[in-house]
Amino acid sequence: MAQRISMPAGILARTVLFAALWWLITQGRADAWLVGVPAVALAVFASERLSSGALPRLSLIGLFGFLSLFLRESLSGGIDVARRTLEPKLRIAPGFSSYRLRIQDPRARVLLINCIGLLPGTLAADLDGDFAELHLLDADNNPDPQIRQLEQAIARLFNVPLETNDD
Amino acid sequence: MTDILASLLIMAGLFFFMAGSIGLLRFPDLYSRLHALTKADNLGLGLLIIGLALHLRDPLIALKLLLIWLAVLAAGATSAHLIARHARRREKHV
Repeated sequence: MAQRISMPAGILARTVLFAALWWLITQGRADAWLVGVPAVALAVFASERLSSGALPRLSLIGLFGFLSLFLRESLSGGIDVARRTLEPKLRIAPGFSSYRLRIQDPRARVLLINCIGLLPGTLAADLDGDFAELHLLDADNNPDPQIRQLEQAIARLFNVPLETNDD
Repeated sequence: MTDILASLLIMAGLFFFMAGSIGLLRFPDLYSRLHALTKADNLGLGLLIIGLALHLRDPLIALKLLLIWLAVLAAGATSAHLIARHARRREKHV
């Protein structure tokens, strides 16, 4: 039941995407296209040069799942850290831990690494091969279950498999 | 009614910005400070933007605000990771 929106690849798709963004940023002002046309052209050029291959094929259902998890975790991450900063006695026990990434797709990994920093109490400090080094605000809590959940949501979003063998 | 809700959301957003800044001052080390900044600012800006969108009642401006939130999120999360990585690698090489 994998419902997919296939993000159209290539220069045309990128042009449409960046032109739409420009239109949105300038609220549709006609004279802004004087700057907008070169800006869109440069953006298309830069993104063609920098990105690895075609635009990813995202799953629509996966997107809803990811967004709802992302919003929930942002909320609890923010509330958690605000509570820790405002309590009279700082309740933190910082430390590091290591997490083995199951996801292989490089773009999905970038998203995961960035999102880990928004989960309650975790921050991805470094990536060494398949291992992400995490900084924990409270090293007494095991962060792996919540990261695993996020990783699964991202795998569904990108329609990529998760390596399943646990060791 | 909407305006009251919008004001509450904006105030809640400002509260989280303040909490993040206090964390920046109170937390003991670089990594913990990054936690405070990224997470509290993400939520603070999100609430602020929902509040502003409700107040302005213009779907195009709401979309633009959403875009700003996404851009700040991407920039904030990426720079927090890069700062942490730089600090961590330097610690290890000492």
